[in-house]
Amino acid sequence: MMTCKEVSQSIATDELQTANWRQRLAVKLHLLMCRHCRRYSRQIREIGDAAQEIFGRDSLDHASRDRLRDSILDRLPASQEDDSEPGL
Amino acid sequence: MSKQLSIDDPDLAARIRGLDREALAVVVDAYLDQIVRAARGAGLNRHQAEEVAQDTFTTFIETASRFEGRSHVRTWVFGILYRKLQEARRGFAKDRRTDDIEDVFESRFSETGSWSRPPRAADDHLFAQEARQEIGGCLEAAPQNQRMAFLFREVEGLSTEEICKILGVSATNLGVMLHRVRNRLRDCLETKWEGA
Repeated sequence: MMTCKEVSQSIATDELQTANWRQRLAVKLHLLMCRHCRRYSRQIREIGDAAQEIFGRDSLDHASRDRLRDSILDRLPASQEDDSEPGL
Repeated sequence: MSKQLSIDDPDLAARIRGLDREALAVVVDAYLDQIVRAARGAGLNRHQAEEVAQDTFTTFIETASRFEGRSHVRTWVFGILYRKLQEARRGFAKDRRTDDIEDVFESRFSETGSWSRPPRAADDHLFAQEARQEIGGCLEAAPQNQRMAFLFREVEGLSTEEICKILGVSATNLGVMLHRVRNRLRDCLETKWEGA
């Protein structure tokens, strides 16, 4: 029998993802019987979803993106394709 | 240019190594947004994040001739970013062997390993709402390496193998880091919940 502590550890470390079927089954069965661990598991998942929603939409506006891109690409070595035959 | 070069092109690594302008530009275009986002996630403001992104790609271009293509180019670029962030916070206690969140976690269980203080916040819907409001503030309290591990996993959706390469840690270490940061966040949300 897995304890609540072992079950929550296996969830928060992601080790369940690489676990074998026996271990997965043991966690599944425990979750069926234990509402505390079910809640813990839901909350951990919810925290990941929240991060994805909040940080995932953080993107550059077009103007800053272009400016940043240009200043990076300015440092690139000059293209050889401009004045010679393409290599391929 | 006959065909648009893609980030998954089998010739990409060789062309990067050869400092091919088009190949380097493809990499910049593919990961600029993600790099700025990750830097923001590390706690930098917009301006700092753009600066470190520029710095990251400059280093990428400078070291491109050494890119062997053994790992994905994204891993290489994120690895550069991570080292920049680490340098910027030199002296920051990064590999702490112990972490007080471990004690907090332990304290929730009895000696037999069952919950002695089970998770609070019964209402899932409210918890989800609160998580969206407070996660930014709660994440700020976490050490940078934990934070990056968490964001790479949850926001960028990177594999365990890739995150381990970027952070330079073993899979077991990554598990410990994720465990700590997730419990830290859960605990922070719960504390705010109880205070409300």
